[in-house]
Amino acid sequence: MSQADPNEDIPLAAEYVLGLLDAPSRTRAAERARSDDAFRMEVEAWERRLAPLIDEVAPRGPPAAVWDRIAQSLEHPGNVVPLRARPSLWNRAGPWRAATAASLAAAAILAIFAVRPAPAPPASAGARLLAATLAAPDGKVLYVATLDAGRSGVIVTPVGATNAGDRATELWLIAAGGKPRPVGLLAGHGPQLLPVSASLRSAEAAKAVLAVSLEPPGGSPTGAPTGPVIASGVIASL
Amino acid sequence: MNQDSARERLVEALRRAGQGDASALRDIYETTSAKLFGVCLRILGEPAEAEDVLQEVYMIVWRRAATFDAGRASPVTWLATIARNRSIDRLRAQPAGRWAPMEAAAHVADAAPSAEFAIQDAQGARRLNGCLDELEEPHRKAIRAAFLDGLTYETLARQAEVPLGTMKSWIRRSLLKLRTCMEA
Repeated sequence: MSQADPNEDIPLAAEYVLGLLDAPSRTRAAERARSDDAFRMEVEAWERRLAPLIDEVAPRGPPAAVWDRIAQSLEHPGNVVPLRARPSLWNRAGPWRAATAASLAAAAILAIFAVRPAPAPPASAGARLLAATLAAPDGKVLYVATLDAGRSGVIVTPVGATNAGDRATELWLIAAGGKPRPVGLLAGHGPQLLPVSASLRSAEAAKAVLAVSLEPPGGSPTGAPTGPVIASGVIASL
Repeated sequence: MNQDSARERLVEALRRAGQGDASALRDIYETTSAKLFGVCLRILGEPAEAEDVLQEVYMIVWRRAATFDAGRASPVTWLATIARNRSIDRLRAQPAGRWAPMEAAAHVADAAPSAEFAIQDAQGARRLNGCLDELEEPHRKAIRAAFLDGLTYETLARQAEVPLGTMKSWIRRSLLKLRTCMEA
């Protein structure tokens, strides 16, 4: 347990609860709240203090499909059904089609299966280790990615030189039947841990595609890939 | 609905969900999904993202229901905290260009607190609002925007047109004042 400094911990706990911390500091604070009782109590105290602000948020009924997906996930643990399949988005993602045409076909097939829940996989499925090698169109491997369910993230290691110039390299995850989802910007040197949501690191992540595209500095402004894909690979279960 | 009985029902539903009763999760969803979807949507802006996170939130509730301790947190605070945390995690995982869903926030008009699913802590609300009122207007605004919209220091500073360091010291000072005031 780390030495608690109340002068630092009180603002840190409050900043964590308010949501002001950037992703790495936020992950560290969340881990600390799990392992350090004094810090956790400070976090819970702030949650209680600020909770009345929630009353100011307008309620809004979610679409019925959300419950249907939850009910399906309850029946088939480990088989998190993707919420939406929107093939039309692919038509707008021009650069993607060349790089991942084969995976699109695979994704379309999986999307059909997703309509009916697949048989429940073994209980250990959620804890599997998943990995992908991301290769350029010429076959040269540029990145190795490992999805670690226990650590809630994907570890990306560059293994080949990429010439991105002044553009950013952004990692995307395309789940079966889904649109490309931004995972994060790659620093370009050394292994990097990027947080990935539970639905993406679930068993469904196997056979999904990881890809890296060139984007304006700061990342794609639209939330969908805008630049060329420099590397991609299918995620496989180890 | 009587707030005490609504709270009791929710606590009971969480207890049943913790024992693996899926119909209890359905009850929790019926009572709370509109509020939690509102929380996710306000932070994420995009309905599709908010739906995805909402699904995750109830799967987390399902897995963690057994750990809910009514002596330590109100059920509504516990649920809303999960929804806020997951939404902010998702937001921070997105590239920088998508960190400010202000356009979206403007579309979601605030309504009067829903009596059925309010935080049910009138005393806490009075104390918080009283203490927030003692802060300077721009500081109070920044704290509300951080909590409700999931904004970062950078966005808050840009919106208030002050340097980042100024915003950080505003908020840290205000939070300490708020704590002292609320503990008094």
